[in-house]
Amino acid sequence: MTGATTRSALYRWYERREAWILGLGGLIGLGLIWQIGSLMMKDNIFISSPSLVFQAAIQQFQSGQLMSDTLVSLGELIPGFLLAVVIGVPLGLVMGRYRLVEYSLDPYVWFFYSAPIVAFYPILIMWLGLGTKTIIALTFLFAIFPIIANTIVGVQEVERVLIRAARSFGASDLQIFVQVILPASVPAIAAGLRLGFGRALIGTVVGEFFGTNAGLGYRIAVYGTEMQVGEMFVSVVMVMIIGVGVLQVLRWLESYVEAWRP
Amino acid sequence: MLQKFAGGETRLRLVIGVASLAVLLVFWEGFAHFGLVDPRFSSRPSRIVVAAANLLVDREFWMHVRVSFLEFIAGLIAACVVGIPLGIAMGWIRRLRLLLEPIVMVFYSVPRTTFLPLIILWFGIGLEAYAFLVFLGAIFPIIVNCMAGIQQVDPALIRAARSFGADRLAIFRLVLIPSSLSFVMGGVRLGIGRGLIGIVLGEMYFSIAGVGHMIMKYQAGLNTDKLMFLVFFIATGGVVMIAMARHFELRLGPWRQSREAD
Repeated sequence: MTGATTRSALYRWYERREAWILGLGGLIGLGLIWQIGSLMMKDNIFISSPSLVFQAAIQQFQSGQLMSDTLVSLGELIPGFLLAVVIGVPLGLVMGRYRLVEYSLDPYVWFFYSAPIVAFYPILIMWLGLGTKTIIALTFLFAIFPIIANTIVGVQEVERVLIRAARSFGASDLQIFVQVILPASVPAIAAGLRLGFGRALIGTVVGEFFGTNAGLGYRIAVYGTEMQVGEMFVSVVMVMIIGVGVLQVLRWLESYVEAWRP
Repeated sequence: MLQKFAGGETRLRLVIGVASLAVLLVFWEGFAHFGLVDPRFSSRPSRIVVAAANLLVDREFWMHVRVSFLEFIAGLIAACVVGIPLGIAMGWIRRLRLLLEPIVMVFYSVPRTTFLPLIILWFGIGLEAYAFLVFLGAIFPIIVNCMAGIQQVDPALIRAARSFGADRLAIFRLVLIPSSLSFVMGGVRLGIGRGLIGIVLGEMYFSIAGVGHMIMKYQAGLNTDKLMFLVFFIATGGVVMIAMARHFELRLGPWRQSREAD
């Protein structure tokens, strides 16, 4: 009898935390499979192992290389992404509001949104040379089209009634933009920023694969060529942390704006 | 008034779009003609047309296109074969979802192109490497969308089916699958986009054949006309494939809704 009740208490405890237990269990299990598989292989040069990655991470952290690589990558990612936001959101607002602008620019947005942007990289290299400028440009190109596309959708879904009401109270075009359309399309713009950021990260890492001499993408490419898989994974994990971290910041910003919008 | 002149909204969109494209081409050609931009770096429409005519009858060009296309299709099919059942299972079985979702999300939030050097290390530079890159790019959006597709099914439909005596298999086959098809197709569409980045980047990074290989060849030879045509060719390929996927997605969507309305 007591056995049954303790088991059910234990089970209730498990049930309440099931999502955490199973989720963490899955991730830890994956790490364990990796570690054990690597121990069982005679030659683990191709897959490394979590413990080797951990050692490499400490070493790279202590030598300061990890920090400087991360800063270089952020120095390309953040300007490229911000530029895409600063240009993409206003452009999307105008395109969503004025039909003529939308119809004349829509084909390009659509084309570049569907095209694999990475194919344009050699053209950018020809124009801007190798280096930081080109990587920022590539990051920008990767990020801007989802931002524009989502902003357009956001603007077009703003209720006509709100705009008409504002106009009949004598609001100017600019006032309507700033006080009605922009706040009402925040959720769609935020979704666009998240999509755009995911792609910006691709742009930065891919840009650093070619013709540069610093940054996480550069390290990944170099360690890949030198077959130092453990060292390489340190940079891969750092990219993951940046990706998840900035997305979290964007979510936080969104909920902050959401709380304040009229 | 403008709308009446062009004869309907769709026609207006088309007319303005084509006009905008024509203006761009005229300016591009004009700038190059009057020496305002250097056609060695920016090419010009007339020379791109000549390059296109040369390449389109070139058997080597089609050989490269075929190589890339085969790699792409192999990777995409593999991603569908693994991703669709896995995503559906994760949407259907709660504990499986709790176990695997964090792993999927970690990989979904990081650019899979990050693993490119590692994949070349594992698979060499044969078809498998690039197909695997496409697979990695495409599978996560497919899983996530299939999962969302199953989860968004109206529980009332499932209860109704159950009360008519449908067993789990029948519910699965007659309710869950049909009502999540457009989500599955949406996942495949996103997967196509990610897969295209994978194939082009992979071949640009390191390969002996394929369209990405050709891009790097023309860039190294400063053959801007052919490079421009190739980039537009690849981008158009992406646009066409994604438009086809979207078409199927919308076809499956309204059909689902009309079923619901019955």
